[in-house]
This record gives sequence, C-alpha cells and structure tokens, in this order.
Amino acid sequence: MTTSEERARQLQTITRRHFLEAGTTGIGAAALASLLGCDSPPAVEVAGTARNLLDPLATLPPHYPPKAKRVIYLHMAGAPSQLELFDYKPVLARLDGQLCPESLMAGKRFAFIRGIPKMLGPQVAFRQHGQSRAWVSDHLPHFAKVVDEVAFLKAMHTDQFNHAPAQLMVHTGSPRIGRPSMGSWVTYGLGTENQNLPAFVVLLSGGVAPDAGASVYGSGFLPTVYQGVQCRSSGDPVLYLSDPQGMPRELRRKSLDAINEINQREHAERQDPQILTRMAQYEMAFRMQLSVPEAMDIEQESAETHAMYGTTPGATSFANNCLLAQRLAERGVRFVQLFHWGWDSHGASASEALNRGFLDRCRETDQAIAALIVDLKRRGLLDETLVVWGGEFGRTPMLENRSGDDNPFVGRDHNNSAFTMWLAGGGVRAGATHGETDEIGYEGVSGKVDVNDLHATILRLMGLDHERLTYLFQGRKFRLTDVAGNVVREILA
Amino acid sequence: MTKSVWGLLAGLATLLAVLVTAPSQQSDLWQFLGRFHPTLVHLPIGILVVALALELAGRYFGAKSVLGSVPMLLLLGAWSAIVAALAGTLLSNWGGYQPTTLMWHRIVGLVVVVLAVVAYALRRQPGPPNGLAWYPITAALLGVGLAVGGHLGGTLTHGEGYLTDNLAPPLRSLLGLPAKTNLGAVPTGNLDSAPAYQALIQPMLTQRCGNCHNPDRKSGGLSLTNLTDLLAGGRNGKVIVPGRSAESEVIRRIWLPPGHQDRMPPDRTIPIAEAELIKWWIDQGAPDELKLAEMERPTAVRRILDSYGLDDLATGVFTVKIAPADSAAIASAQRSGLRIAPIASNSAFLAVATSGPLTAASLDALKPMAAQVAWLDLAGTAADDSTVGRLTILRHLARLSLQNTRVTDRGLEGIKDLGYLEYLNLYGTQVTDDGLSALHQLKRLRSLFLWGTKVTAGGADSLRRVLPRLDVSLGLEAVSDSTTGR
Repeated sequence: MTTSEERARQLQTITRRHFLEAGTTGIGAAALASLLGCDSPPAVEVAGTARNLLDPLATLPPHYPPKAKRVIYLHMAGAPSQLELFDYKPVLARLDGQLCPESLMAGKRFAFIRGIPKMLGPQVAFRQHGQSRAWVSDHLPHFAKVVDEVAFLKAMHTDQFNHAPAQLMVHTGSPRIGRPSMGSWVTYGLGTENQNLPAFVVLLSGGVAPDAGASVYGSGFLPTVYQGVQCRSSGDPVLYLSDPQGMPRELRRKSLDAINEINQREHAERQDPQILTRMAQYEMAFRMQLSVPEAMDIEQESAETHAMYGTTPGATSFANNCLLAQRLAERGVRFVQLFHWGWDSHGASASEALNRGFLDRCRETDQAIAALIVDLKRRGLLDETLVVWGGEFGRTPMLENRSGDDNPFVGRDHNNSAFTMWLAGGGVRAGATHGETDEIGYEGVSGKVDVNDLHATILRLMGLDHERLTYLFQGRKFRLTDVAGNVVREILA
Repeated sequence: MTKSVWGLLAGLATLLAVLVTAPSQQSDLWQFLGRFHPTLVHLPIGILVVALALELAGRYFGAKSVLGSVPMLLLLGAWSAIVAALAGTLLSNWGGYQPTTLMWHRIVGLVVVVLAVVAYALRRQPGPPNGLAWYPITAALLGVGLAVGGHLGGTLTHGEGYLTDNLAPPLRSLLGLPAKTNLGAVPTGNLDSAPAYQALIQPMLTQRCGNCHNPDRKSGGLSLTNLTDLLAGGRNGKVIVPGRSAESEVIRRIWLPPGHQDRMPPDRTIPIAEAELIKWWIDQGAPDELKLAEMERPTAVRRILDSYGLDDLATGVFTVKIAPADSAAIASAQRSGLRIAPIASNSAFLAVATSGPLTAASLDALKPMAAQVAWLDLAGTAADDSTVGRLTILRHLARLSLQNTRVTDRGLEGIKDLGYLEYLNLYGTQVTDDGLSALHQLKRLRSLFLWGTKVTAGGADSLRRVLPRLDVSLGLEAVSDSTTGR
C-alpha cells in the first residue's frame, strides 16, 4: 500500500536518469538477482519495527538501546555570555581595560566591534561548587546546587556569528532555512510515546520569538506531522484547537462521527489509505482538546512546587515553561523545546547589558532550571530524560562599546569560536567537563565540539545512529548532521 | 602411428621422467620456469575446450565444415598440456600448497595430458569422424578432467571456497555448504561477552589473509588462522610483537605503500578500520581471552566498533544475548492491554507499559516473553503487592517503574532476585525502611527513587552502606534547598 504522500515523494525523486537506468541494466539485473537469490536476506520482521506510512507517529525502535527517551532542550536565544556564567577566566580579569592585541583581531569578523576594542574582565565572581568542583558564577546560585548533575561542553564552536543563521545551525544543523529541526528528526526517528499529546512541543518565553522564526522547530523537508507544536502558557494552549462558542463537545463528537462515516464510505470506494490517516488525525485532535489543556494546566500543582520553580499560573514565563516541560515529559512527550529570549548582551541599552538585562535573564531562568532538574530527578525522570542548555554562540572577551566612553552599560559582541553548553540526565556523565578554552575564553584549545558533534551526541543518547537516521530528499539522503558529526563520548556515562 | 603421435609420446615420456626424478634441490631456474605454470595452463584448457566444442558443433549441429580443425586443435592442446604439466611439476616442488589438493591436482592434470594424447591419436584422420566408440568416451572424460583439474588448481591458488564464497545462499545450501560467515555476521550487542580476539580480530585475519596463510598453505611459512600460528610467525621470524604494534611485521606490511613488494595483502587493501583494530589488539598485548569490555578502548577504537554496529555503549542486561520472543505471543499480550515495543532494532529485549487498565491476565500474557522483558512501566496503575509478586519470572528486568502505585514493603519481596535491575522507581508508594532490606541482593541497582514514601534518611543511609554504588533519591534534600535557599 502506498499513501499519496509517499507516491508524491516517489514521483519527485524519479528522473530521466532513472528511466534510462531501469530500461537498460536495472530490469535485467533485478531479474537475475531474484533468480539467483543474490540480494541480501530480508531482515527479521518484528512487529512495530517497520515504518508505517499510515501511522507516521507510531513508536519506532531506535538503532541502539536508548539512554534517554526524551529531550528537554532549553535554548537561550541571543547567546548568553559564557564568561559571566561558566567559563571562569582569572587572566581576563587582569587584562580588563587593556587594548586588545591586534593579533587577536586578525582574520576575525565581528557583528558589531569595529577598530581595536578593550578587553573586558568577568563581570561577576565565580566559585567552585559540588563534588565536581565546577566553576559557576554567582549569577546562578540555584544552578550551583545541581551542578553535579550536568556535564559541561566548554569548547563549543559554530561557524555562524549572527543570531538567525546560528540558531538555525543549532536546531537544524544548517544555517539556511529548509532543513528539519532536531525535534522533527527525533520524532521522525522514534515516533511518539503518547496517544493524546503532540510528540514535539515548543514553549516560548521572553516576549520575542527566536530570530530565525518557526523554522527552528519546523519540519523542513520531512512530512509536516513531525513539526514542533507551539503551546502557549496563557489562553488556549494550542491555537484553534478548542471548540468555537456554541459547539458543545457532544455536538463536536457527533459531527466527527458523521465526517468519519462519510470518510469510511469514501475509503470503501477509493481504497485511498490517506483517508484513514486523516480520520486518525481528526480523532487525535478530538482527544487533544481534553488532554492538552489538562497537561498545560499548572494550577493543579502544589504550592510547594510553585515555590520551587518560582511559577505564576497564567503568566507567560520561562519558569512556567520549565514546570510545563516536566509535566509534558512525564506524559511521554518526546521533545520539549523551550526558547527564552533576551540574552544578546551587547551593552547598547539597559535590556541588553551584562550589568542589567543579563542579570534579569539569569534571575528569570536560574531557579526554574535548577527546580526542573531536581523535580525530574526525584520523579525518576532525569534518568531517562536528556536536558540540554545553551545558546547559539558565545561572546567575546572584548568589550563592545558602540555608544562611546560614557556608556553605563557593559556588553560583549558575538563570538562563534567559543561557548559553553551543558547536558544533564539520561546517559550523560554527571559532573564531567569536556573541552577547555584559552586563558581569555576566546577560542577552544582542547576538546572542541561543534554543532554537528552535539547533534550526533544527542541522537546517540536517544539510541539513534546519526549516520543511519536519513531521509531521501531531492535525490539524496539527508541527515541532521549531513556529512559531519562525531559522538562526544567523553561526556557519555 | 604417425610422426606426430610419436612426438607426443616422447613428450609424455619426458614429463613422466621429470615427475619421477623430481629435482629435490630447487634451483632458481626451475622455480622461475615453474611459475609459468599458472599462465601456460590456460593454453591447453582453452585449446582443448575449443576442440571439444567444435567436435560437438560438427557432429550434432550440422557445422560439418569445422570438423577438419579438430585434429589440429587436439594436437596443439596435447602439446601445450605437456608443457604446462612440466612447468606445474617444477612449481609443485617449490612448496607452500595444500598437500591433499595438490596431490589430486597432479593426478587429474596428468590424466588430462594422457587423455589429450589419446584423443589426438584416435582422431588424427582428417575429415568426418570414423565412428570409433573409444573416441567419444575419451573426449567426454577429457572435458570432465579439464573442469576438475582446473578447479583444483584454482583452489590451490586462491584457497578453499574461493569459487563458492559469494554463491547465492539457496544454492550454497543446495551444495551442502555452510552459511557464509563474514564480519557482517558478528553478533551485535554481544561483543562485551565475547573475547575480542575470537569474535573480531581472527575473523578479520582469516578473511583478509587466510587464503594464502593457513595451516594447509603456509605462504612464507606463515599461517594466520589461529593464535598459536599467529604468534609463532613465519619463515622470516615473528610477525607479531604483543604490546608493540610498531615492531610487528603484520602492521608494517599492511601500511606499506601500494606496489611495494612486501606489502600485504599483495593485491588488495585492508580497510583502515580493520587495520586500526588489529593494531589496537596488538598494542593491548594480543590477548586471547580478554573481552571487549575488559580492554582499554580509545575513542577512535570505540568509533570504529560503533560503525560495525557493535553497540559499544551497551551495558548491563543489553550485553546478554537472547533469542527474540515469539511474535504471536507479543501480539496476544498487546491485545490484553499492554504496550510492547522492541527497545532497539539491534536487540531482542522488550519495553512493556500498560495501554489500558492493568489486569492479572495482562501480566500472565508476559510469560512467553519473560526472558525478553527488560523495561516494565506500571506507574500510576492499579499495581499492588500481588502484581509485583508475579514479576519474579522477569529475570532480565533492568528498569521497573512502580511509582504512584499501591505497592508496599511486602511487594518488594517479589523483586529481590531480579539481578539485572538497575532502575527502580518507587516514589509515591507505601514503602518504608523495613522493605528496603529486600533490595540488598540487587548488586546492579544504580538508581532508586523514594520521594513521597515513608522511607527515612536513616533508612536510605543504611541501604547505601549495603549498596555503595546505588544512588538513593529521597527528593527531600533538594526541595528544602530550593525553597529555603536564597
């Protein structure tokens, strides 16, 4: 059986070349191979292991036993400064205020810095925490308490130095629009674990959507069922999902039954399996009308939980989204993607200054992230959930000063050569630190990890081989990591 | 008898003389000439096959005109057979060939020479065949002899099974040959329990080097198909220095540039990944019994193993090899309200959760797949102590989720022997300090969740003393930190 979507795909990929190939050698070779029984023996068919095009979200087994069943990805849009959070550089403090040597500027391109900037020392005190003795700045007092649960990647780098392409890079593996996002790939590879909620949920906070737009959670060339579903924490969680006024649920059920009956007849007549898919999706939407508001309703949580996360029911906040992420993880949502905007600390205004807006971002996220880890852990979910934190690139050890000498705000420019990310949970070696930057935190000197490596590692923790998770498009197989990527085994437990 | 027949008989006599007096002291000249055998031998094969084919064409397909060429071809074929056999005799004395096959190859080769001479003697008259009954029999035997002798010669050069290695599986079984084994057939997920040498290194050496270096045909006096021979080395000394790949001849020869006369294998290239693994195994001391899991694996080696589909990250129960469960039994268990899915496509282990209300019948449906269930999620179901009591048969259970159920201390008795258990989630149950003693034998247990139970900090501490590698999470310490913190 073929669905029309599959048929359309086939037609897309067939070219004149295929005709010539099939017309000359193809048929003869195929006939000979089948006569001799030369093709490789068919793999053993186990129920539930083959992709069913009629049920695109059916659970599929990964290539390897997974260490993590799901991902909560915390993206700090705007790129937070690693030098004020995790990458402690005492040498940079001594160099504070000195002019940057020209050798450091050679061959570099900056988004905003022009001329010779001054060096900027860390704007906060650092302390070592936990048994791992990891350095954490005083901006993150709550996170410091759970630092033993995470593994740091200190020498991340990317080849994009502007927000939109760099965000696309981090989420789709390519700086250009059109590739599927990580969550879409994972959903395509593993299907869903629940029957009443989307497999890939996106939660936004910070007031501004990511620069790269919905493409950072889009499905690209994958079928659209794999795209991220944005859920809002106030109002209707999913737009247009609730029944319109004057449409009670019973009536809705009746009209759905009637539509189903017509579709059944249509299917009996035409045998188009796509009709069955459509019917299944109507039913899913009907179930989601109850299950999504239930999952998204954080008012049921105890006062203790609200105090722990710092949540306010009804608001749109990163803290609320963290609590929601925990609830969605417990209900079997495969990929929860959080975006929090406002980390672009150039120092050009109060909201984007390391000594002002940056502090607010830390306060908005610190307690909630620590609470998320603690909450997942005590529920036994951290063991099978991968939590990832990071931005799209890092920030320069030089001061960016667009506004002149009397600028009261301190900021740093974009730096794609070094930034810090951390991972926690399923399969991650808790307490590990991989990679090191130079003594001013400008570039990685050992254990450098690029975005493709990060993707390969995330997929591997979910039991997927990044080289085998492919999709045929425009005549060739595509991967999340395309032609690159090495699993960072140093941070695997 | 004509002159040509006498000539042939003289040639045959010379051949027999050389055979009998077989020069025992090998001179370089003899060896040089002997090595022309593989080239020369194609002449009699080709010429005699053409002669037989033309004979058939003329007799049975009406191509009468070609019959006149047959005697001349038989004469040429017989002479070239004599010359090829002479060279072969010299080559066979040079040594290095499997003796039994060589013996048969010599016998059949000699028979072919004799048959070719006889066939010519019977068929030397030009013109149509004269109806001699001996001639067709001789010709038929000659055809068979060419095929058998040629095949034996090929086996000597290329090794046993060269011809049939890539034969289609159905035909292989028809010929009574065993199923083909190669690296792709290495059992995946099982490498942590199999010795690295036997499961990985030896199959590579056998596949890449075994045609020329086996106990039957020791080229250079070297066999590479078992560890004793491997360590013994060849005529030029040791080929492996355990612990020092840089000094090991095997590695040096693999990495010589293409075209170098010492390079091995001479005509093919060993994939870099395989060469790296062999080098790594030598550097590890060329161990015989060590399992992959017991050897130090640098990142590069782990990547290679991963690319072979050997799940180098597999731990605990996933290193156990089991047969897949019966699919009909799985389907029937699925109908009884269970969600059952393979944990990974390279594994027979199953993950089980509930898809509806939990009943005694649904747990009974797991009996046929008791060995395959590795993960069981009964969180938030009506599971109670009697439910847990039924889990004793799930001997490979590694993850058990019982949070938010009515399980009490008594229930924990049911899991006290599940030796592979790594993860046990009991948060929100009625478990107390007393019940934890049932977990003392679970040496592999790493994560235990007890938030919202009656277990005290003291109870958790005494369990930690028995199982020092166990992470006991009460959930309390962290909560108070976050709420009473800054």
